Amino acid sequence: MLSLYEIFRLSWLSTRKNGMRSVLTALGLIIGVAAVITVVSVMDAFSNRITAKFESLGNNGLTLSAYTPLKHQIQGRLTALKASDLDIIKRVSGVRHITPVFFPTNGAIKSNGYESFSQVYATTEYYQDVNQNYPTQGRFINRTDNLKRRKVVVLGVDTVDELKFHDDPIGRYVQIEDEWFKVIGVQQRKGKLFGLSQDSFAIIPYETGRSIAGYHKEPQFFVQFSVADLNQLEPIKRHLTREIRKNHQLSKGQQNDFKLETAEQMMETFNSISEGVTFVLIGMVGISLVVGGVGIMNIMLVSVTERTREIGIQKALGAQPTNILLQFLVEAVLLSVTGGALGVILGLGLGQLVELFSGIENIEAPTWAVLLSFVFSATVGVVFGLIPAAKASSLHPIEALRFE
Amino acid sequence: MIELKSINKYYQSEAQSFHALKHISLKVERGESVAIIGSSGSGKSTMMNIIGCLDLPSTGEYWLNGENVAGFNERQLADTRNHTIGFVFQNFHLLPRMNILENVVLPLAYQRIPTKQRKEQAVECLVRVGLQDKLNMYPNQLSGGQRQRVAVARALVAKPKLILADEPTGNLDSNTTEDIMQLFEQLHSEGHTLLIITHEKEIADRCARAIRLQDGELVEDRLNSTVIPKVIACA
Ligand SMILES: Nc1ncnc2c1ncn2[C@@H]1O[C@H](COP(=O)(O)OP(=O)(O)O)[C@@H](O)[C@H]1O
Ligand SMILES: [Mg+2]
Repeated sequence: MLSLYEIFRLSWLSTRKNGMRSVLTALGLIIGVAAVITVVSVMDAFSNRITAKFESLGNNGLTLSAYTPLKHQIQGRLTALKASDLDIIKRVSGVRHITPVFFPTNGAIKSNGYESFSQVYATTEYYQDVNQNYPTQGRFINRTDNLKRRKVVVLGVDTVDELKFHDDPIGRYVQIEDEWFKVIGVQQRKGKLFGLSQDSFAIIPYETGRSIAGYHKEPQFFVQFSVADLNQLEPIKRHLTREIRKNHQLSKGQQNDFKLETAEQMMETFNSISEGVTFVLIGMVGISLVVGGVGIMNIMLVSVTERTREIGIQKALGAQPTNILLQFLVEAVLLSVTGGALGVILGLGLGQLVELFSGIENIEAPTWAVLLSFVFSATVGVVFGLIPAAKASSLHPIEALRFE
Repeated sequence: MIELKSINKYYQSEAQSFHALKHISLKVERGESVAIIGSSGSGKSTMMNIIGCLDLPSTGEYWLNGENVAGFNERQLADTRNHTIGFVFQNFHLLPRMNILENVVLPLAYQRIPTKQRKEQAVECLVRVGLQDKLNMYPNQLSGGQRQRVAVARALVAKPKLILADEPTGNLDSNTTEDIMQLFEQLHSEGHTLLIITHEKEIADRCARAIRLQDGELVEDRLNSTVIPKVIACA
């Protein structure tokens, strides 16, 4: 019996001799594994980040927003919150801070020829408390700004950067929808979420927002609020859901036309998205493994044909069919595992590249993904190497020896 | 040692059947040296392949060391080739990706022998054929005569009783032919049973016995008076 070392050495020799061909053969596997490693490590870094983020947000923030079921969207029936919803929430005991928010414009913010496409929020002075985010320079918008519809704005630090104020931005003017707004504050840095900047925004008073959006229609606002006691979160949610359904005149059995979400639920939404990605991923792995496996089977069949005479010689010298079978099987596995290893390396490299260009931090392949890649690659080698190896081992010695 | 009983071999090819061996009966005792002669296509290799357990006869019986080979399964056939028979082919049939030592070790690699002992046995055989300084070279770095000596070393390494050589000097010049023949004669004198297929009369004349095939039939079986037959009574 050939020792495993000898089998490995033989297989390695032939894999090395056909270097380029081997790499091309394993390409399907390399790319498949690389894709999986990249996506898994990015998703992993992503969800670590998101989890940390939601944890830091605290679980006591809630958002009430309009929700139009898909069926109604198709029918063109968009639902909106009512101004009276705000009063309902205000009346609920246990609700601490509350603020309506809407997006008065999607236009650019301009200053001195520079532009920023940061989102403009129209909201109230309570926004800072609900979001636990306060100015580091200047001040936040206040009640009077809102009542007098003052044209003042509080900027996020990234927006400040984009507009390239060379000195203190406080007191400078920016243009939103052809109106001039005085910068009164810059908010504390929040960092990134979903790989996107959380510091690219401009906050203006709610009523000022209504005036630039035009009074002819009700703004599509949503409500952010926080509860004083976390333990009261669920009862408050239940109570509010009941009250708002009443306010929206929804009959029994009718679907909610609004959504009441906690940060935790938003995270669940994210998790369900990442679950979806995982399923797509599994499909991808499946396809790439089959493609890679067929490539390996193909090259192993070629290799068996090329080495027919060698197989004949080995049989003449007394090799058992199992010796030949094992030899080719090990070669197929060596090929597929090498491909898997190259795929892992490529995937790690791609992950680093994504980290470099997307700003998502700490992209690392989870150990289970690396191990699984190797296990799958080896399995592919065994499964798809079996037919060529069986073919080699069942060759008739004389016919193999006579093969030209 | 070898007994063929009315062997027939047919080759089936595209609706045609070719009768390559016709009612061959032959007995070879242990320690004999037999030359198999005959024109090309007369069935010499076909016969040797059957004797070497590389192929099975279509009809008839082949007894090797008192056992009917027809009853062997794949595993037993391979074992017999490994333990009992050593092959030397016209075109050497060395494995190109292995060095000389590894080529010679190969038959032992199919047995349960410790790696160290395999190597010792292989080196011993290579010393014997005078190639002890070429252990790490590859077949394509050697001359034809040297390659055939490697092949002889490989045929010897598992200490087989029977050496089968199919035109072993067919690809060699006269000097190297002489080297190889001397090796074979030495093996014979040590008690190996030797079957050599050859075209060359000089070689046939150096064997104690010669048989001639013609169109698949055994047409001549003579003892060579100038060579002392070396039949070991019973071992
Ligand atoms: N595998 C095969 N299939 C069909 N015909 C074969 C095969 N092997 C040998 N033959 C035929 O059998 C005859 C004897 O072949 P062989 O034993 O190789 O002759 P020799 O070795 O005496 O030259 C030849 O006519 C050859 O064409
Ligand atoms: Mg021949």
